[in-house]
Amino acid sequence: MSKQSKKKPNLPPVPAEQRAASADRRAAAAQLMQQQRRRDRRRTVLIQVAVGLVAVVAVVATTLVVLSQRDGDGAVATTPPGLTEDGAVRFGAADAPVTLQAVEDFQCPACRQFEQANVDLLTSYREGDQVAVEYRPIAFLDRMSTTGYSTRALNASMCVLEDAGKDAWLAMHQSLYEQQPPEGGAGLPDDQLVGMAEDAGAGGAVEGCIDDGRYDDWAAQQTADVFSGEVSGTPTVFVNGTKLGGTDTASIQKAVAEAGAK
Amino acid sequence: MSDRPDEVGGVVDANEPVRVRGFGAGLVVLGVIGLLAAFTLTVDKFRLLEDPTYTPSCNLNPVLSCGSVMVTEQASAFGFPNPLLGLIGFSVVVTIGVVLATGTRLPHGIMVGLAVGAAAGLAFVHWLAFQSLYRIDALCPWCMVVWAVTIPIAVWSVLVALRLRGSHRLVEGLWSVRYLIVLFWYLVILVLILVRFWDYWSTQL
Repeated sequence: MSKQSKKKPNLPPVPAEQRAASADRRAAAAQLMQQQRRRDRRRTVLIQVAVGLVAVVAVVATTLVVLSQRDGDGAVATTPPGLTEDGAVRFGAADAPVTLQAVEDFQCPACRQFEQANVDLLTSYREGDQVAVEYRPIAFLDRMSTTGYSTRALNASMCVLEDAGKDAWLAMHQSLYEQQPPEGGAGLPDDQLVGMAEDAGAGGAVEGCIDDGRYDDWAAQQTADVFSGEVSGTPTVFVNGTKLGGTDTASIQKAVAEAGAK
Repeated sequence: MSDRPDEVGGVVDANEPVRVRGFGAGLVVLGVIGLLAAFTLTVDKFRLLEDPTYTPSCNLNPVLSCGSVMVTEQASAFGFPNPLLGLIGFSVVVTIGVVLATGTRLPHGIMVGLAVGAAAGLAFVHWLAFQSLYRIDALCPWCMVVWAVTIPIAVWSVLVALRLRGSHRLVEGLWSVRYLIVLFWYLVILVLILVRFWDYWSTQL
């Protein structure tokens, strides 16, 4: 065909205007085609952008809703048994003239140092009849671990308190500080907390309590309550309700003596 | 004569269905980003070796921290620091990308090699992501940049290599939604990260 049309032996010459018109038609058709394709492409892009946006919003929103519901399913926080009115575990004589209260977080390295430095002093207070010792634990350092360790540790200690009482809680408290995980890590896993709780004297029921985070909501409530007062960090020590400037042994002894312990 | 409009309109493109210049430009951009991330990780690794107390600039908080990730065994999966692989791999990606972006056609074998290499990188990156999320419990920002660029590089390289072997409806269909594929891939990883570290994110609010 192309050879023939090149030679065009017997056809009359196509008039110039007719040729021009056919070229115009062709050009117009080509343009139309191109427009059509551009429209198609634009539509495809628009559809994909729309699908993409809807998918992003839907997936992220669903995830956030599901996760936040998982957090706040317990409407009323269960309070651990055996605490004082302001949420402390109290040791020592009921009628002791002086009350020392320590606000601590199980993830806080300074609290660990406080415990190590004052273990003898606090033990002697607990065993004497002059100074009652109250531990008021909070959990505000969840952001220092990847697993919310602060709250998990506090919950675990309260599970021990519920299951085995104050002395077991004290043992748990001590081993939580002895085995305190460093900040910036994943904390101790739940099964290790269960093991420590059982070593401290708790029974088998403690496992469910730790796994379920039974006192997580209470821990959040307690932490908020404590921070609404004079506490802005841990450890913080109160002697008969007065906040101490320092938490070293000398400061504590001085404050306790001034408060009237014999 | 009646077939002329078609020739002008559609047939020309059908004869040349796989245009790789845009893909090449994409490889350059993604490869450079990956290269920067791998380079930064390598330099931070050196600094960390010189001074174990060095805190890399990307240690933002307990979850987003490269210091705790870089010292793990998984960070040297083959006995040497992983970012060295990135330096090599992303350099090749950038080089091939530049050549393609100039409009040069490369032998199919090279395109297949790119696809295979990128797919291996993709597999490795997912292993690292799994380790990071579920074993190390921390995310390293520069590593996530590497994940983010490796996904499109691999997906698109594989699709391009398949397209060059011949037009297939499934492949063409996937190619036409190549951005969506990558977006969904990102979404899955984002959701996994949200779920995994929810305890942490929720206490930040």
